[in-house]
Amino acid sequence: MFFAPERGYEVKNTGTVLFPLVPLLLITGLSEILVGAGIIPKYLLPAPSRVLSVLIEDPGTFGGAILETAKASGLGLLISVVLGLFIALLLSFSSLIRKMFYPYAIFFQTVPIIAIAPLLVIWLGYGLPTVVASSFIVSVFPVIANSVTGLLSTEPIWLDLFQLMDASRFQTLFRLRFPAALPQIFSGFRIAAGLAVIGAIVGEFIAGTGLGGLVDTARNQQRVDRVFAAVLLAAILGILYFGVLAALSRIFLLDQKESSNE
Amino acid sequence: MIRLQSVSRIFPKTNTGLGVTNLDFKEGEWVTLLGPSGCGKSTLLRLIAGLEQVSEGAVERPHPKEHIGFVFQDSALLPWLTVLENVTLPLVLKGVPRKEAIGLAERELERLRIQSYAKSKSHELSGGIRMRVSLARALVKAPKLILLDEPFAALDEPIRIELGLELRELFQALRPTIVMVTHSITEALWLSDRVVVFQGQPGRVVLDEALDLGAVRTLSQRGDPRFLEMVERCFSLLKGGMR
Repeated sequence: MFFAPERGYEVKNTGTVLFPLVPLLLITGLSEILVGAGIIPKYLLPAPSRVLSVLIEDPGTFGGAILETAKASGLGLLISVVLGLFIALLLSFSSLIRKMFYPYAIFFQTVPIIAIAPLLVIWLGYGLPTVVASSFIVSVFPVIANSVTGLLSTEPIWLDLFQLMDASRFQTLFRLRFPAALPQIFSGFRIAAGLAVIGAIVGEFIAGTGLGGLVDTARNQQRVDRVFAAVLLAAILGILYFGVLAALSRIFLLDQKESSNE
Repeated sequence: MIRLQSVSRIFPKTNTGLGVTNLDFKEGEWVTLLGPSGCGKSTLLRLIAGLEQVSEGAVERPHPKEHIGFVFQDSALLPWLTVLENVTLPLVLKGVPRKEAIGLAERELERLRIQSYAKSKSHELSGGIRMRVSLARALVKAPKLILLDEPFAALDEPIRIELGLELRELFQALRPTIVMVTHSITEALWLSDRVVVFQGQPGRVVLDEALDLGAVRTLSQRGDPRFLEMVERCFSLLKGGMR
């Protein structure tokens, strides 16, 4: 009886990790059987064991590619977090600034990255800057949108309290709105983490580097197994970023509720 | 003295709020506002605090904002701050040096017997302790006017009584002006010097009566026939208003 809550917590946490593995194992096992039996042709879907073999056979190429993508997407994410948060603070500070600039932030979000990636190459050349820019463009909007929403949805009772304490607008922003918005701000960071990898991959398609470049080359060579191996690594990278940000948010938000499901 | 001259604050969509009201609150007086939901009691507190604007009339209040302590029904503690940080907050925002602010906050925590919770966060506290912290935060600026919006509503009866008595003792010692809103007739009559009863939507004053229970309040006063007679009178007025 005494240990019941703690045991319940352990079961819940173990479930969080184990339950998603069930469909993964099912799909992996099923595709291994279907491809092995020749029901699905190998040129359409490689057997999961083949994807793993590709990774083991050529660790240099894949290791180098994932490091390149990690560097570019990491930088893109970092710029998104810093700049996105700064923009959100500006937008939330004044309704005039918000009215003037927030529609552009929304417009920015709707521009398809695949259409402007060639422009980025013209402006920034084939290399890291283009990929970082692509990663930033794709990932900055959720940071801005979530942060602005969080900064503007402070509990009215706390705003009353700060008004009664005669707090200045700066004090209200940095001592109330910002800490109160942290759950939503971190939620935006976590969404941005996955998008930063997607943006980097799209940039790499054009720039010809990293995992994106590897996917493009493998596609031209009809090497579906290498495409899948690169996609798997990109997904692992996205999950890694997500995990790091989720851990950070747990550290910072011990006393506040998360605004999204993990 | 706080003076409300022909003040009204109506919310047109629901036709609730405060109807035209004339009231005076003397310095060092504890006045409790009683009435059904939607009759404008809390609105009246917010008008006095300057959190709402009047639809008509004028509120005369000699105290600047920094001399007002406000206690909300929900303790309104900031969950990312410790108890001590919550209580120092009004002073820190005023620019009081950190060391001095901590000293003053610790004095209030001691006065409300919650010094052992100084490093706790609000989610670690019971409802009663949270309300004590909220009171400490309101008292730390040594306010001349304290506005209490149903401060005991979320508490169990024994804690309500205990905290009420302590607050009365503090009131006797510090003598601020207190304006409190409550739904509890017994609490209103037992703790305050004067009771104002509202009725209707928008609310209007139907009873404004000074009470004489003496400076010190004891539980036994609640069984006094005169007290019970007053409870019955308020009950009839409120019941009549609900019909």
